[in-house]
Amino acid sequence: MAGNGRKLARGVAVIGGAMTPFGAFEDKSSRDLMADAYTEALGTVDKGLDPGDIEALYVGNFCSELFERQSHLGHLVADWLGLTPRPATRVEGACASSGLAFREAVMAIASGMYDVVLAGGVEKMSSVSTAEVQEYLALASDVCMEVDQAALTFPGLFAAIASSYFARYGASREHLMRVAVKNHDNGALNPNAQFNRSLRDVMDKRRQKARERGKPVPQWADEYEFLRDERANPVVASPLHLFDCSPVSDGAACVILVAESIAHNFTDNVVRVAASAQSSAAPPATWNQDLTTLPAVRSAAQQAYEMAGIGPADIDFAEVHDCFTPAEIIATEDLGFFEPGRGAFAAADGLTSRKSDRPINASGGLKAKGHPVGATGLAQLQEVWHQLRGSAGKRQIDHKDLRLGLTHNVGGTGGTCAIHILERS
Amino acid sequence: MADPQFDIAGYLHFLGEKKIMASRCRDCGKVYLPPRPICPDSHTRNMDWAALSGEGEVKSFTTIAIVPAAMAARGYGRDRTYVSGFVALKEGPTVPARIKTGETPVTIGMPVRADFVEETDGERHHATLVFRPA
Repeated sequence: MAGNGRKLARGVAVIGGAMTPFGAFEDKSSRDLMADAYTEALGTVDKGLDPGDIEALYVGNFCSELFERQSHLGHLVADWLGLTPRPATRVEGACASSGLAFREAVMAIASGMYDVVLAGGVEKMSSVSTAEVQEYLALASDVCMEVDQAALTFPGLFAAIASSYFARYGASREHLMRVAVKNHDNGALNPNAQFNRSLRDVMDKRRQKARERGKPVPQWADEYEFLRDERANPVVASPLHLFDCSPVSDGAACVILVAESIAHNFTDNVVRVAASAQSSAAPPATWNQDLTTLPAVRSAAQQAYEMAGIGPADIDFAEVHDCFTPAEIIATEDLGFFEPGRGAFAAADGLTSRKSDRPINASGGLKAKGHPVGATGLAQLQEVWHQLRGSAGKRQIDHKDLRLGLTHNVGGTGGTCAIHILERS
Repeated sequence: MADPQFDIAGYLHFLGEKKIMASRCRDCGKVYLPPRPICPDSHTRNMDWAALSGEGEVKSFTTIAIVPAAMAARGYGRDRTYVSGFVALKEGPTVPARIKTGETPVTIGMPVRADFVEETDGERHHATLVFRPA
């Protein structure tokens, strides 16, 4: 689908946003995590917001019924936040659930129905075994064909996409490693990141553990040697190894949106929604000849750029959906930052690093920040909002003026894609 | 069972008879696997059955070491991996499937042919489409 020239019927602005730390939090339910993100987000509104002014909420969540044995999350979150009887709607689009929740909030305001809306996203994954996590995430694929018939896992599907990319463009695991090293370096600057440490820190910790246990201390010359070590970084689904995969996470994120016409009541530092786009795609078996591009991303990107009246070259920085390292490489191509086949080489040349012209995943991405699937889209959006306002702390991109930031949030193996562009007024 | 329909159940029914049956749109001629009732190109419900040869080539693949529970129950795991991926069939459609080549390493572009195996997941029996070297 080409862009259709659609615009929001009225402007929408973001006036607050926050995420909980991502990690494993045994005693916190989805409701609790959501409440923590909400409290934090209220505190980020420059001139304050009376919670009574919030008129509706949208909650992104993938499958709390399996992770927590709890469906019908919308009203429970509304209750926990003290926001009943306001309408509370749960939104599901696999790992893009809260990108979609944000988009519903945008459209609810743009339509004129509400002036102040809360968009939240949450997932509590650590309460089940890793095997169960893998099984539940696989439910976001075409279960009959891809799981029951082909026994493909979720990493397996992205591994097949990576194999296809390698074969066509001559890239290799070494390029994937560059993405992992970069995103861990970025995560080391992010206090909310699950992996709040570089791979060098991870290596030091392992050496220390070996010393304490009186075992031989592994000698790795650098991060790349560590990643090539099959014992340290075992294969999951070739060519993907452990450090190519985002971790299992608990966490929530939250953003407060208002009609742009009233944004100045809340802040003098207005960040507006320049574009909101969403696309769907059939399962990968129906894609192009070689699985090296995600059709839903291409389609949503085109709509987003058209709505914002800009092109990929205008984007100052982006948070992209690196659920697996090859997904970041392909995202940078599908978003138009690099030509098809160049993304891997661009990553290796440092063109996506935090000091580059267009930093990718300065937050650490899903890879290091963590990936509580239903929270990820809004974690990206609150990150872009903070970066645009200059409130991103140690990880602030400070070598260039930031005006336009993009989020790319993907559900399943590209079945759903939500892309948003935020702009500092 | 009643006459197979253009849907997943119909697809699985034919797999049980060792046949790969797709649906072909009578309006535009496009072939769909698994069979589906509505043609996304023509937007019509005017399908016919098309028997596929089962010949194709490997489009992409992966060797899976962290296996799902159903495969663990069949004895697969880190020490006994398996290959799965996508096979492009001669007639056009691509199908996700396991690729069983024994000692021969799987490569992209490798010619393969369909085979049908009966599998059990707990109480459930189903026919599964796999591919072997042509």
